[in-house]
Amino acid sequence: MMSILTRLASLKLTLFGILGVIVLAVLSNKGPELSTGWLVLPLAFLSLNLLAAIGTNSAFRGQPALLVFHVCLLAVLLLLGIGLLIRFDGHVELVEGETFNPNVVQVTEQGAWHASNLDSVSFEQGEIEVAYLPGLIRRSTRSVITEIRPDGDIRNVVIGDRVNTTVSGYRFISTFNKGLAVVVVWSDAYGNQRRGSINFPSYPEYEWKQLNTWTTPGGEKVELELKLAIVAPRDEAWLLRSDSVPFAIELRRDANPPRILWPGDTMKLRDGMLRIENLRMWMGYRIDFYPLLSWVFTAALFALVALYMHFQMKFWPARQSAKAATFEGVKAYDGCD
Amino acid sequence: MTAAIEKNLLISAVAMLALAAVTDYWSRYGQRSSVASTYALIAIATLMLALAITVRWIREQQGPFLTLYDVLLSNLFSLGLICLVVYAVAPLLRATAVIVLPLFVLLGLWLLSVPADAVPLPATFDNSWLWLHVTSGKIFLGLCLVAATASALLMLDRFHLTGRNLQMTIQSAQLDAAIWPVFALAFICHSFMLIAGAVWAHSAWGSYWAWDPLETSALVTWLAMGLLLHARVTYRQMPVLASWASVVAIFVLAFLTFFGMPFSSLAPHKGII
Repeated sequence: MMSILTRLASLKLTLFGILGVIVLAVLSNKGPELSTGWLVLPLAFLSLNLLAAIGTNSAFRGQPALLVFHVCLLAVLLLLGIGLLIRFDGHVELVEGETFNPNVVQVTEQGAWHASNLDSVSFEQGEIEVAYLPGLIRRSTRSVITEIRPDGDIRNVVIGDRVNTTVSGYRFISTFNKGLAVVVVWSDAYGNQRRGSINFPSYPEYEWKQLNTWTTPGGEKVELELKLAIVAPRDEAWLLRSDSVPFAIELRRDANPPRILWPGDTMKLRDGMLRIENLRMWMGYRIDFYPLLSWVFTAALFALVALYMHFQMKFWPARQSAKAATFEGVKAYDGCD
Repeated sequence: MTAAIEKNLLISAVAMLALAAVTDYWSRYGQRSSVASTYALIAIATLMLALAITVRWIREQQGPFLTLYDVLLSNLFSLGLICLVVYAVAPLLRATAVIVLPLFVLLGLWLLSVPADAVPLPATFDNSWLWLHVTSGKIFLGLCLVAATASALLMLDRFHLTGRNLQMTIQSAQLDAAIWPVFALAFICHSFMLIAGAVWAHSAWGSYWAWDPLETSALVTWLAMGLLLHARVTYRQMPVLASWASVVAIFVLAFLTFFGMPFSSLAPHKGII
């Protein structure tokens, strides 16, 4: 058993393990989905190699700073691994005035051990503003949300480029993806009304194709094009807000001529009536859940301090005599090769 | 107006560096005692680069972070400053100036040849972790440059390519011993650059690691450094030429990471406006 451990602790195997990580890291750049998962193999191998070295190599154990560095490195790997298993990554688009609905969140990635707690997230999207520099360069984003806490407390939070908010462990980050949405009211044949919004593509990035298709509750497919009275200014600073853009909607139906609808206009469609209300902004949020990152950070910093202490013990006491300078207890220069 | 001042400062700085290279060469081959004037010229050039950065910063209302011009300008300054500090602390490493200074001149000429237009820094990029990330990266590159040029010098010396006069100034065993503390410090700085970069990226675009080409290249450089440190322990009689060549190769990788990768892809580091 001891002999197996001693062999597993070999530094030559460490070199192979590191080479394996390098090769897979390079390959991950070509296609992360293919090789990132494979990285687990050399990393697990290196972890075993390290544990075996700790168990069998007394010289290694005799260098406490170096030992702490490697143990912290192991902790970083473990925490990152567990973090990946419980992680959540998703995105959602919220219109001004809309309440967060976990059912419309689109999941990008989710760890096998993630126990969703999105149901406990409760907030309402408030006003959105995006400031631009001349040349349509996004300068700052300001998105207000009203958070409703479990104890009933209500608080307004401003999310922006440098500020995000965490609700029930989920971090909400505003993104460059944002645009305009038209609020519509649908009245069915019985007079029941439903209010909703139709989001148009990201604005001003896709200013030239502000259209979307929508199937009404009556089952009719229509195409809506947002007609804006202004063109996003290219040569001056500009503040994008929903109330700063006069608009109309061009509604197109099969075999019917298109019709322009202004705010307040109604139109009879199959099995119901559509009314155009107003224009609002929507904000695209990235949602993530990485609860172990602060621990990863702490372990990494500990590793760094330990590494510094190790190198200090190795190199700086020897500074008085350059000839005596050694590396890892070995005379670095022996004049032969 | 300020753009012209910046340009003139840069031209003067590059001229100073060229003069320092000539003075250094002269002092070694001509055996004249002009070491002080060489370092005074490097210090003046570094000061001019600092002034150029200041002028640009005031005009553009942002630090030199984004474009190739920004990266070349800020790195030429930081490399100059780090070399001055290293040469003051470890006079033995001053021998590396014979390679470092011509490299600075080439970087300076490259800087003068690229467009100086500024690109606004995305609002999400601007936080204090960016500073820590960039600063530790620059210190890493400076230390790695010193270690690599010392290694290159020893390799040239081993193959008798340095000339008789320069050979006299190289104390091979001492210089080799001086490489490894510098390399170790560079490794620490690189480690911190990766940590600070992950924290910054987590805040700037929501992901602490995205496998973008720049991140991957930086990680591979770090792993290569770790590999070399382990190899030196594993093979205690590791040929010195192999060690030196590895240090030079790692610097080349780091150089490509800093001056190649950020401008060869549209990955997040490039900035989503």
